[in-house]
Amino acid sequence: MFDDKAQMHTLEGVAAATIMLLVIVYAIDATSMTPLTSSTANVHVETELQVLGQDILGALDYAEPGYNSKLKNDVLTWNGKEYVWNGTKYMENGNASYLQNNLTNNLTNILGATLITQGIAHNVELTFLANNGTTYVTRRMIYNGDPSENAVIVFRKIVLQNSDTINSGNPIKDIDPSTNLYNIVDVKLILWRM
Amino acid sequence: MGIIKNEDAQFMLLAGFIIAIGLVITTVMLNNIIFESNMAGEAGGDPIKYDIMNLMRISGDEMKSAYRNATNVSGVSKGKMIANFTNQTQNFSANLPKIYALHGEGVSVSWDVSNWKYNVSANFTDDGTATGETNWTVIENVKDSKITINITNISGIFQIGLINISKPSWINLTTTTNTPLTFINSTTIDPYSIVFRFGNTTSGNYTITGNTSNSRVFLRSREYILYSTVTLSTSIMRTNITIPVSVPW
Amino acid sequence: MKSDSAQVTIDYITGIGIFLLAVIFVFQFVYGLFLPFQSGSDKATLSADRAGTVLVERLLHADKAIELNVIDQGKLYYFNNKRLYYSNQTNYNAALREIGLFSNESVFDMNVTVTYLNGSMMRNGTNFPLVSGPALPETTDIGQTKRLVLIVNSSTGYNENAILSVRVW
Repeated sequence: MFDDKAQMHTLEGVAAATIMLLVIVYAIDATSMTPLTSSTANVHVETELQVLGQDILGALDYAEPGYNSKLKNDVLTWNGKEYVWNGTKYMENGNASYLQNNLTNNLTNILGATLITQGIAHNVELTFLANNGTTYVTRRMIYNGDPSENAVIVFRKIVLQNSDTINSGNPIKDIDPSTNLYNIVDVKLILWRM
Repeated sequence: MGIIKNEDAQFMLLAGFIIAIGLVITTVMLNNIIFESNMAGEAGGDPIKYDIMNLMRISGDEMKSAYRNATNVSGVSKGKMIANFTNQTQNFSANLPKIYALHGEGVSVSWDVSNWKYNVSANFTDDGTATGETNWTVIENVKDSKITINITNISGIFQIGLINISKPSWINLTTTTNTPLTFINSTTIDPYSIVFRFGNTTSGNYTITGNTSNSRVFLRSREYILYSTVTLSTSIMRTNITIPVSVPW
Repeated sequence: MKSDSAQVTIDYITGIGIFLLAVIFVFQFVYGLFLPFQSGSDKATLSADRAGTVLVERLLHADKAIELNVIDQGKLYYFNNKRLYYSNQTNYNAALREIGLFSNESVFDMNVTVTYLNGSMMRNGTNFPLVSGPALPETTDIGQTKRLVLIVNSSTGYNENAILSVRVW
């Protein structure tokens, strides 16, 4: 005498439980990653990095009447080479055996006190006009690798005049010798957290 | 008569479905909460203000530099000077949009030199306009200074103060005759500040050079107030700003 | 034929047991899903950001400079010594009201500290440390903003980089 009707209880209990668990999986999938989740892609962390980058460039670009700003002096005295942070100094890329080939200027002083101590990786690139103002050229001043996808970029534009003394190795050239305008440089600071 | 239908355990399935629907509703509510707090969090930043400030700064600096270069040659008529000035600023405003185009921004810069052309001098106030601060400190901690002053228009009295701790001294100027005047002062142990008083009723130009007590050279000078109009436009905003620029410094 | 033997079938127990276990698990989980949103630190962090921006770019900004993070030394000393001075409650509340942290709906406390880039405390002209506002509490969530500023005095030529930390709770 077999009675096979009551197995449905178990089956239905299991089915009901399965439905609920599947919906929970859906809920987890739908709400896991948002711009405010605590990670390096958090929008607040990126905003903080952007404000810090703009603050650094803004503090360097202050000038009193009669003087050039510190950032402008750094661009004028740059010798055109690319530098890499090796843990203690910015050494010339490819020529690090000569210890005197390091970069020390106002920019590196502030970067060393703010970004290096917080472990934020950074690149500094300069974009300027060439060929009488018809093409752009981009050169790196500081290179620490390729940025990650949550990197922040801040810009500052600097105008150079003929009356400023410029380093001979500097790749920035005069786009118009007939007027006093030498070139317009776009300083780009790229920051990202590792 | 046997059992026709057995509907006992369907309630379990039904309860399971109801709880599942409740979960979906809870998830939707949770998404709304997350969305709403993200909206508040994104309100920080506003990065366009840095671009605007940068543009105002470089166009003001370029105007001052062009003025200095145009007026630095001797034996040239004012019309030629203005032409040189316009030449340099045209070159600047032709090349500037190329750099800004790298970031998808359009800029245009224009200048108003009517004060220079018609010899309307600046007032001796803090910012050069008639409504600026009338009593202000030009520079403190001065060791030695050379003040050259030329008044074109005065009503009332204008005072230049050399204020140090021991004995403040005031130079009173009441008329436009006998200007330009030059005052050379220095001190050894008592640094002084240079102060202008009642500058809103007087206009002209001045140049003050010297050293501060930390042996740092300083320079303050003003001849005219010119105006520069900058326009910055991106895909989401457009701004048009006119700023007064004090030339030559 | 009705059967009133009153014994529950075993698989009914199994089925309802599994179902009840799943229900309990679901309710536990839903409660935990809302926990991250119960913290009040988001409000404090956003307020600190706003207060830092208003302070650096408007209240303390140096008039002659165009850059946004250049502040005037005289205004900073005055703000530190007189306006955000916690012993004088009227001044303190007026300063909070101007920054926007004191309103009919919400009241915050604010602490402003200025340090050199290497972390050491900066002192004002009379050798007092540049700290203003009440002492930091140990038990609540605090929102913090640090801004890198350049403190200038255009009459004396003083230029110094500093870090201004604004803490709000």
